[in-house]
Amino acid sequence: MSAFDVGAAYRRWAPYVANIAARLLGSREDVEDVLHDVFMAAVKGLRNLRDPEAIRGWLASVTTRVVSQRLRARGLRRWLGLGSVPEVNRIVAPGASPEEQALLARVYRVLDDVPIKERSAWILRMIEGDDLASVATACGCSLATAKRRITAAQARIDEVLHDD
Amino acid sequence: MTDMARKLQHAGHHMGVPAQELDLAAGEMRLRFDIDRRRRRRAAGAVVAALLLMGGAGLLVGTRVRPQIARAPGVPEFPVASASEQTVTLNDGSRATLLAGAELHRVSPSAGADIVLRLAAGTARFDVARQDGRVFRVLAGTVTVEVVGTSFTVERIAEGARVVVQHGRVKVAWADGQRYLDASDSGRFPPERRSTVVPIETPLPAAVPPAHAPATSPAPRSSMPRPSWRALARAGEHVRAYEALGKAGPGDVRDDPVDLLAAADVARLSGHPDEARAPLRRILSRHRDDSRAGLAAFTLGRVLLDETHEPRGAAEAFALARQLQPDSPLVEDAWARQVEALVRAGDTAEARALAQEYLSRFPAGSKAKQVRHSAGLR
Repeated sequence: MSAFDVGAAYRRWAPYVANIAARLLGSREDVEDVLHDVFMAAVKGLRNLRDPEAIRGWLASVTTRVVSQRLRARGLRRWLGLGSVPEVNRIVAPGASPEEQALLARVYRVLDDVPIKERSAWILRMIEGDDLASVATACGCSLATAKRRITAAQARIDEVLHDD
Repeated sequence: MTDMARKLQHAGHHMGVPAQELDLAAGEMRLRFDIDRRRRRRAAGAVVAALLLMGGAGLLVGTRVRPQIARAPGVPEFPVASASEQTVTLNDGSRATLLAGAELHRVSPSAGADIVLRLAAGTARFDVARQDGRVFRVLAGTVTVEVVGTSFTVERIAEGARVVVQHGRVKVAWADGQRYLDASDSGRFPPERRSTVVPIETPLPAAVPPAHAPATSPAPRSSMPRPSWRALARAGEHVRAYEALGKAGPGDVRDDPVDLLAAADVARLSGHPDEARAPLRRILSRHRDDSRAGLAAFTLGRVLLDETHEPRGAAEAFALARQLQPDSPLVEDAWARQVEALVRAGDTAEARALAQEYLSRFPAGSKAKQVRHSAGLR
């Protein structure tokens, strides 16, 4: 893929990647950096892909990997007392009702304490609305593992929300 | 699907980053250049590996291998118009990478130390070799970008330009303004005309809430709230804070000394010192009893003397700073700067009298040398 095509691919797919990144991160913070890292990592693979659905899946998997790295770093910073949990409301559009905003904020607070692999799988399935096969592809795991991760995250959410 | 799952999925549709909030042009430029940099690094790595292999082979056969010394590329012929991505090396070692469709002219003499280039069209990135004392300037329409040792990208847009700074710091100037950009900053210049903070000599609108009241923004609700100008200012991102404040409007500045000082800092440190005057003057007119009034007066003096070149007003501001807080650690600084301002205003007699008063009061003062020098005293 030539440099010009890289630019065209970026313009075409950056909004899609930004949306997944924001949902996986749970914040607007770092989205531009994730975008950059995703396209730097994906450029080689994109060269060989033509089908838009294949590109979409490929970018989702790279984005999941890049965001996971960021979340690990964020967790480390929090553990060291150097960072704080971002506010979910910062990426919620005004179209969401107050009830929806409150629900998302509670869920993301729970997800901050869920293992990153489970968190990513759950968000892709429940927030992004991907089917199980797409979740498994994006997470780089088998269908059974994807299901197990989603179930584990869901159990944790149910437990906390039920207690609330 | 459970009820909660349905709710979450519905709510999830509202989550995301609206496309209009993404600076795709800046992101694309950053991506292209980082890909290019990676390619160059890999190529350099391959050359080093090849040289090492050749050296190893030479040792094996017992012959000396003389490494090839890379020859500096010749000074390019200007103007350079690039049909595809192209890098030209200037006589000082700085490099300009032109994207397809870019056209670059050299305005300064080709052998001179100073480099002034004109980007007539397209996008180019400049990796500037550090060299003290020389000027490196890129003209793009009505915009001038001036740097010392940095990397930045300029894209011509209509009569102006978009500037993205990769490393270091640049000064971007246009017909009636200038702004400093640091690494990772970007912007389109000239900026849209708008008053960011309180207009000079104009009272704040009646809608300004009283001190300590929560801030209200008259700006339309964004689909995804960005950090407030205050948060950006606290993080030291004054250029972005200035833009956020411009969007929020002057009514977003509360009429209390803390907010007014912050607004003045945002204007001043984002390269709009003329817009810092009004909030500082407001502190002095309406909050003179506040403990921060002395600092506001001193800051106003600095702005007037160093930025907007109004030495008479600066002298008055420094005098006020001394009067408001005679025991402040800044008092000697204010005194020295008042002397300097009076000299610049052409009032040398008053400057000398003030300097002598300072020296008698602070014979071993930290500003004694500066005061003597400014007032021309031995």
